[in-house]
Amino acid sequence: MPEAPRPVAGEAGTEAAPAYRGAVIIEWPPRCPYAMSGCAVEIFDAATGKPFTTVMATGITVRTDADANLSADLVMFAGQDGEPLFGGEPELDGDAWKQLGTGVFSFLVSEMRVREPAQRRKP
Amino acid sequence: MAVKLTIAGREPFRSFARGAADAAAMFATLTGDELDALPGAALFGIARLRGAIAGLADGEPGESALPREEPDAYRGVIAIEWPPPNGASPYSSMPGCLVSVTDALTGKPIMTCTKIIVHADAGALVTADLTMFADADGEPLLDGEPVIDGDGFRTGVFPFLVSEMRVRHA
Repeated sequence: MPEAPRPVAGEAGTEAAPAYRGAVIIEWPPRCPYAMSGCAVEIFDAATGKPFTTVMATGITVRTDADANLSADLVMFAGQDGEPLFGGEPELDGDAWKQLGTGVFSFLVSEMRVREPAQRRKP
Repeated sequence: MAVKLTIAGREPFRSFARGAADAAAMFATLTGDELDALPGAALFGIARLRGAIAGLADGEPGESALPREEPDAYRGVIAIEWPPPNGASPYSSMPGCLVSVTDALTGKPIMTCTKIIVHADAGALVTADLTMFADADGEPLLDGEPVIDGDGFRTGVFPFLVSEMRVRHA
């Protein structure tokens, strides 16, 4: 029996998967009377449990279609190679820090959490 | 039914601007000795606030850029309920069809929403753009029959404030 051809991204019937950079946990602040502040939202790496400290803004796209999963587009610092920085300090020489940019990177969302009211954010 | 949020009779941004202006006016009444007694961080904050408020009386925002654009006409306040974590693996993501939206003021579920985009910018409030069925006037349809428009139901994208996130128990 001849081997079935492997699907190629972009061909009819197949779709290139979005370039997800990993999976994240999003922690929301407790209930607010009218609206919650975006600066109280925290993002954690789902694999390591460590917080992302390089996220500047979060746009979480939720599709309620049955065939779509929750994903989050995070505005993060990016290194000179254009890849997202996940923490620490970039190793840059001289004025190279001026080239430090940002980028929008897509992540799968594996968990949503809500912080307890008495629970304070870690500095 | 469209719900327009106001705080003290103003839209949220105007209410915030009014409150900030009142605070700046109050700080202006402090004497030199009272200001000297304040910590440096407080003085810095007051100076920034004055910079932001400068010119508001003339209708012109100050240099430190209070945004000049009109605020979005939020259609209400919602609570979003997320599904519990899948648990098997950190990479086992959650299907969007398990997300539900509730009107935070009435507690009633919003069943006419087909897509949710949540915005959580660090310098702003958490908001959600809901793609919903729209009525004949183009307003969000919270109950009743959807309107046929062309080949499908009439829909629109409406911004809401988010007051609560919940996680459904497994």
